[in-house]
Amino acid sequence: MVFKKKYLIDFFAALILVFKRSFFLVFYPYKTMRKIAFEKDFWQIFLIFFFIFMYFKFVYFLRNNLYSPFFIFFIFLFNFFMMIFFFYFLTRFLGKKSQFSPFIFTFSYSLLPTFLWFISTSFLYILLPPPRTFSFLGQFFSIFFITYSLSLLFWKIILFYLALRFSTQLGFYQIIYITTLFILWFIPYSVLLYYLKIFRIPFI
Amino acid sequence: MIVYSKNFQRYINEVFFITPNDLGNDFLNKWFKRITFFLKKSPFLLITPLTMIFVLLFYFIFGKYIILLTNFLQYGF
Repeated sequence: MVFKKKYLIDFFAALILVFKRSFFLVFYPYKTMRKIAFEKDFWQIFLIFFFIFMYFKFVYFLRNNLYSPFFIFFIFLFNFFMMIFFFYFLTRFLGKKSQFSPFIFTFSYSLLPTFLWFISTSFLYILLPPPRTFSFLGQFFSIFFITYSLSLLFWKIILFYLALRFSTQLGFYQIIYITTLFILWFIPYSVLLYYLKIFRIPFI
Repeated sequence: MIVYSKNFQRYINEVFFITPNDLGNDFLNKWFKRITFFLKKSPFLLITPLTMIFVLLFYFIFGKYIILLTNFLQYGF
C-alpha cells in the first residue's frame, strides 16, 4: 500500500512539474531549460510521451489514417531516439563527456511547441476545415494562422538550440555545425515519411 | 543558514556548468549577447511582432500564395 502511495505521489508531482515547466518555458526558456537539464525524474518523460500518444489516438479518429496510432507513436519514438543518439554520439565524437539523461529531458520538453502546434491545428481542422478560400476572411485567417505557426516555429528553434546547448555543452558554432549535419539527413528522411503518408510534417 | 548556503551553491553550479559562448571576436560576442538577451526572457514579446511584420510583407509580395501555404499546413497534422 505504501509502495503504491509513493508511486501515486511521484506521478502527481511529475504532472505538476510538467505543467509548471511547460508554462515557464514560454516566459523563461533559458532558465527553465537549464533546470530541466539537471532533471532525473523519468515520470515527466512518461507523461510527455503519454500526452503525445493521446494526441495520435485523437488524430486517428479525426482523420482516416492508414496507420494505427500505436504504429505512428512507434515511428515518433524511433525518430526521437534516433535524433538524440545522433546528437549524443556526435558530441562524444567532438570530445565532450556529456551524460545521456539531459538529452532525453531537454529534447522531450522541446517537443512542447510541436505538440501545441499539432493539437491546435487539429482543433482548427474541426472548427474551420480547410481548404481556405480567397475571400477576405480566408486571407485574414491565413495571415493569423501563418503568424501563429511561425511564432511557434521560432519558439521551437529557441528550445531546440537550448536543448542542444545544455545537453551537449558545446559552443554556438559547434551547435550550428551539428545541427547542419542533422538537417542533411533529416530532410530527406522527412520527405520519405511524407511519401509513406506517416507524417506530413515531422513530429519532432 | 546551511540550507541557504547549499541552495546558493547548487544555483551557482547550475548557472556556471557551461562556459559562456565565445564567437571569436568582441564585436560578435557583444551583439550575440544583446540579441540573446531578448530571447532568454519572454521571447514572444520579440517573436510575435517580428513574425507579424514578416507575414504581412510576405502577403504584400506574394499575395494569395499565403492561402496555399495555409491549406498545406492545415492538412499537415
